[in-house]
Amino acid sequence: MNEAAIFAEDVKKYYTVKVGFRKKAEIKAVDGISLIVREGESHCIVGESGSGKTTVSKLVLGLEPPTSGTLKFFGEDLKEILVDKNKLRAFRKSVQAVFQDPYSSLNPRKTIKEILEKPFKVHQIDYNSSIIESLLQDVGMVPPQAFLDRYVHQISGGQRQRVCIARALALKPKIVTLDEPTAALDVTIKAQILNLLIDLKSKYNLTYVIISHELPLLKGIADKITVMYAGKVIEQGPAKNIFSKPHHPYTIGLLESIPPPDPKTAKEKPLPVMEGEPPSPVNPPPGCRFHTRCPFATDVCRKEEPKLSEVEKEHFTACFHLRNVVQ
Amino acid sequence: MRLKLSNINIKQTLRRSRSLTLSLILLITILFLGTMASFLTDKDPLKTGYSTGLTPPNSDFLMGTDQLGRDVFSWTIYGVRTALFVSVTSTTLTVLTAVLVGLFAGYFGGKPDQLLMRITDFFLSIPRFILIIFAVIIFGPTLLNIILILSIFSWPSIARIVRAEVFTIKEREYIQASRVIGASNIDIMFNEILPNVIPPMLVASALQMSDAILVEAALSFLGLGDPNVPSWGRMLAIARQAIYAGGWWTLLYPALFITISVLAINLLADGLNDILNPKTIR
Repeated sequence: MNEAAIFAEDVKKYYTVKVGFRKKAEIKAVDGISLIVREGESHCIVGESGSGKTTVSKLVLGLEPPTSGTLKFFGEDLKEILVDKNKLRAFRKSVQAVFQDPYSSLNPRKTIKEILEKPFKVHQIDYNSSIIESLLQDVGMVPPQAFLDRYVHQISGGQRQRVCIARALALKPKIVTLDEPTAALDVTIKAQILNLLIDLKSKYNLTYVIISHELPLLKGIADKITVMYAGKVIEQGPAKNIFSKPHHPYTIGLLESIPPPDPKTAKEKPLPVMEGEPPSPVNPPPGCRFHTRCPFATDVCRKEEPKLSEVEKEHFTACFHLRNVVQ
Repeated sequence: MRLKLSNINIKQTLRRSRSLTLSLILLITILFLGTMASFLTDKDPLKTGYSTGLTPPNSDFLMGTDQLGRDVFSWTIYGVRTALFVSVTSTTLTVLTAVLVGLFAGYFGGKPDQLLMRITDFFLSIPRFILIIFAVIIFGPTLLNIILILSIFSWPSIARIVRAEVFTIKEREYIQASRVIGASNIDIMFNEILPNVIPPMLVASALQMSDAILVEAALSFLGLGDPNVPSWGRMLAIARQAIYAGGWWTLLYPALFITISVLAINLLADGLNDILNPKTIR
């Protein structure tokens, strides 16, 4: 059996912050998540703001070490990678990122050419103008020569995101994390970028970790979905199952809070609103973290924390009231 | 760090930025007078007795002479050298220190940052000019001392500007992207962050340059300048006595040169800011 591209087991990431004089508090940004991403898969991590999605992406990028738990990339432990210069170099080459905001993820003082040359320079790989041009061509910026000497502010938002993708692909990575790759873009551009990502995935044999809160957009691209809430995984499984048969009340809420595309039905049926806000990561509620907003919550939920259990093949949910919810 | 001047259309820039045009005209004039001083006059600026007593401007003494018979014209144009030398060297030292300290403190944060910022607080909390006067009295009024003292007491404020800029820039996603690519801290500091710090720093360092001219003039005015070089400030001190005898020329010309050079440098800062900001390049 081949090794998983990313293997995470009970990974936690706590941040210490100062609150007042000499007092410290822990922010439990990620509080014990496990996931397996196989090579060639698109694994989507879904959740509200503050659920720990972005922290997961930082962990996956090796920008920060986990507080505890195991995080392995193709069988190699991140802790070992981070202390070994050569391993870290290889790791940086194989894991790349596309960020949320194409406006701030490109240096405004550099030309497109300089931005795309950077990865080659850092890793001392020979490059020439035709390599840079073919990168731009691959992300749909034609003719590439027209863009090379432009500055970031001289191209559109969609084009910026394309440049970000080109930069991520320059080193021929195996894993690419996409942190809300379409959140800052126009609706029409979103679709273009998603299609581009789907094409590039097969062309470059990529494994995607997609962080997003826009569930419907993920339908076409996701193989697996992990739903996070307040630093915990509450549902995880194949994308098909989760879209067709979500088990956790929160996932159901997420899926239902999407406006239907037909304006007629949209007017007839008011959008179900999930009340309340996600809990504070400094002081999460005891028991199930969702109980403060859950319509099915009972005493058990307030006291005990539900564990992930397999409801269908490879489909896990953490909830005490699965039967009620599904009905 | 590479400033891209190659893709800037000089004619267009000059037409767009009036402050730059004016500043270049003034600066070139001053620099011309300063560098050509030995060709423009055969008189030694420090030598007394070219005339007997205060002489108003005439064909022999373009800007007149002072009460000891020193040629004001020669003094003034040789004074360009002193002023610019002090201002350019002290600013270079100041800015280099400030950039290194500011980049380091801002990028790494934490304890080193705390330490460096307390040091700058110390410097900033004491009136700078008084410190400079004391230091010059203690170490002696030579040109080198004045330059070093000026730099030592001036870098903290610019370091603060650099640090504040670095603080905001290092949180941008392109810095994270460079880290993901595998760029080293030094690479990120100097190649990704520094170019973005240049515009605010240019303005600050131009102000520093004109400030250095003023401080040097003030020190010389108080009799704390290097006595072996002609300084505009010292001519102003001389003018203090001459003015009662009607010698307005001893006051006017050095004062005019101080004003023009400070103005020209400040306008240059404005103009450079326009050019170096890629958003204004079309």
